[in-house]
Amino acid sequence: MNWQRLDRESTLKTIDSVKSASDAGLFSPTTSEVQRARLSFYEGIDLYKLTNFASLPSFTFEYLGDGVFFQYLDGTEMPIYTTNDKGRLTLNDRSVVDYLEFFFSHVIAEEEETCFIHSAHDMPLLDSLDEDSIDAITKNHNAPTVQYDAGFDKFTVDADLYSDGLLIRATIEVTASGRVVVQNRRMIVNALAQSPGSGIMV
Amino acid sequence: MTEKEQTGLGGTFGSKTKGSQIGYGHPHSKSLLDSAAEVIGQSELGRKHLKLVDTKKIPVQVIKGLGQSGFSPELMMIYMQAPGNMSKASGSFILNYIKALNEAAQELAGFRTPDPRKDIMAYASFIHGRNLDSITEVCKVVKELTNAGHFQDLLDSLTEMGLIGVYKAYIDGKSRDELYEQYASAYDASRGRR
Repeated sequence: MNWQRLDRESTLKTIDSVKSASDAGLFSPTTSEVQRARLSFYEGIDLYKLTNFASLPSFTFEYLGDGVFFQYLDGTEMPIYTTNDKGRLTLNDRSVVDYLEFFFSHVIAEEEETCFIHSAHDMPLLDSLDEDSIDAITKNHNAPTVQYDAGFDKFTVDADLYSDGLLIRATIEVTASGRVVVQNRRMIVNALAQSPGSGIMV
Repeated sequence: MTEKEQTGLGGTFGSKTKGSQIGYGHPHSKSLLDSAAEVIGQSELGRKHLKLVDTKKIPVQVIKGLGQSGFSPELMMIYMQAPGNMSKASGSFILNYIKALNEAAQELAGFRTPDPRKDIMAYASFIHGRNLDSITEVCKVVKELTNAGHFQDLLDSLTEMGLIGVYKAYIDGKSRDELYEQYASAYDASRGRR
């Protein structure tokens, strides 16, 4: 993500728009900064990250917004779908992959964190695995493939996901309005179970 | 509560978003804290921390989101974050709660966080020391829960959080310096991921 720090005036405006009256301390302008990143799949909607450095770990909050209106990303799909329904989502063969990467990093479905693996090096905790496991993951990983169905105006993406210590291959359907459905999952590598470094836990 | 208040949308993008329209409070706050306390309470050390925070009336607020949780020394308050649809404490929620409870306990014991605006180096040194102490405390509680039903979940979460190295070092009886090395490498890795 290519973050750009906002100037002081824009920072204050953003904080003013998103702050909670009941938790004002969390949004203190003196100890907070706001960054913005462009998203390839939205027109005029960016990702905003507010960080309050008053404590460590720093409290962070992320939003989708156009500089005036903001949707708080609360870990569910609802704020993303609500933003999509404003008609600013533009998906194509390339941006749909970026969209899924963004989607899975901001939505926790069924209380299970899922990571979209664009490249094998994206896999969480890769560094903590032994060489054989890294080798197995690298060999078994395939880059995402995208098919567009003009009849139903939807994309089908075959991609690797990492969830619950497993590397899986999934078929994911994405509609023109950005609704995401994981249709099937096939296990590729039980990465953590193969790691001697994790012998303590398996 | 209207849709406008719940989502912070400005309804239909038709009016300016006001902070008060964004509902940060978690809808399953009580259930999350109760289920976390149920697990933590199975450890003697965990029970101590829960009791201290309860006795001293340190407020605990659960907010929706995927950001970090912890104790805010400025506000003397514990903030926990969890995805809006989570209704029962996950392993990482429980671990973060133990850590936050310990941070609050340290502050109450008189180890006050220095003002970062006065001396940033003193602040950073203090915070990293406290982090290590709190993570070590998490390891102690997890060890006490070895025979509990949630043990495996907690170990998995330590791995996901990059802290399994610290736990292993703790179990192996390593020195504080060695624990710090593990903590520092986990901290660097987490910064790299961000």
